[in-house]
Amino acid sequence: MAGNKKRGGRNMDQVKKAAVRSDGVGGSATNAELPMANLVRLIKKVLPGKAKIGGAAKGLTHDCAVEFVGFVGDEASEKAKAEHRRTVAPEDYLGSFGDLGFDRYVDPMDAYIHGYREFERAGGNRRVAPPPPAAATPLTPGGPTFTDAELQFLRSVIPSRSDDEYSGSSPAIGGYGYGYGYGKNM
Amino acid sequence: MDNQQLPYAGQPAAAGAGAPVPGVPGAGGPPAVPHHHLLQQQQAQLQAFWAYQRQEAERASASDFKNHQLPLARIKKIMKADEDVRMISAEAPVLFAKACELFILELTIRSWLHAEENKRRTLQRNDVAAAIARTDVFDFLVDIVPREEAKEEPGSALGFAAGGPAGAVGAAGPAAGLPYYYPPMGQPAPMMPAWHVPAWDPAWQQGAAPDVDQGAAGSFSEEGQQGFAGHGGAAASFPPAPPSSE
Repeated sequence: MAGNKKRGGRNMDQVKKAAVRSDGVGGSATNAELPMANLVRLIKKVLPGKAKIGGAAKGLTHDCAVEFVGFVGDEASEKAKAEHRRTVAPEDYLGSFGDLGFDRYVDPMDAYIHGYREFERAGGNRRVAPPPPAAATPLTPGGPTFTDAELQFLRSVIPSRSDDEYSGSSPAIGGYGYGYGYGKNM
Repeated sequence: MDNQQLPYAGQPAAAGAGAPVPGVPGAGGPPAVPHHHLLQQQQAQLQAFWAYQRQEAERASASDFKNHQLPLARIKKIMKADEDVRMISAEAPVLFAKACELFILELTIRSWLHAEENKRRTLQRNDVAAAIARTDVFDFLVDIVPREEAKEEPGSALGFAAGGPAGAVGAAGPAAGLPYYYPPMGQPAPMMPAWHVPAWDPAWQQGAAPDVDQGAAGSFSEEGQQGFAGHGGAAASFPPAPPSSE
């Protein structure tokens, strides 16, 4: 019921977005979009090294990601409004993931935001300054950056499928044969 | 013979390098050696895999908060693009950058499974569309796919009959490298007969979540045909390679 209502609202917003996009195809000033390079880098993380990505697939994945942010964001905003709060808090988004069916996102995101808060209390966020060389971080371009919770989530998504690299191994491992860290093709 | 067999039985458990030596005189030596080596290789691969994942997980907890895959400013802009969205806490874009990352990964994995089912090595638009159709939690994205097709065919009514030619036009689009630069003024002449499959239309037009098993089976059949339609822009029944380019 609420889901259908939300979809109706999203249709109106999407029509507006489509109109804006059709008017200014090349202009990114009025469009809320994600950089395609970052998107493609993410997509390649879970694809085998030999896989290619069509341009239309990139565009559709991008539109779905933008829609996902707006879809969950609307739900979280209504949560904050219902409780008469002016600011939408991360807890509103965590609750929205569960309400909208993204149950498997709740635990990884909850662990992530707690880790981020501890990180903030420890030393704060130094996004402006580049990481110091003393950190001795090995340079692995395109390597996956998943926590254990995320691996659990991704493992639940991938069905049991044998892969050439893991022929004869357990299905859980076979499911991870999509180039996780072994195919550094960035 | 018994004395020689007993030490051989003990060697595989220890996984010593001297296992092949006593195996040579033993009657069961030759067939046991390959199996033993295979197990060793698998164990080595598994250990390397999990060690790498553990290392990445530990490193992610430290550097992941500094270097997000998706820029926070863009995420925040999208979150505020809708009217009626209230003020957002400073932590919200950080949370959503990660959630959006997981979403893209899940959508990509499900899309790639469809490409593999069709024996293709290139992730195509219809693979993403199939992943959306098959996954109940992605119902909110159903409206995005027909609208994309509508952009390719301005003025045409939404429907799977128009999806075929639109798919063909879309196949030519990726050659330009930019999905948003489809030629909207292209000739709308039909290059193939309309693909009227009654089982497919309800899956797309109905907003309600279909039955999982039935929907999955239907989607697979329809997507297979749509894939062929997309490939056969020039009416070729089964082209050797898809025209998509990365």
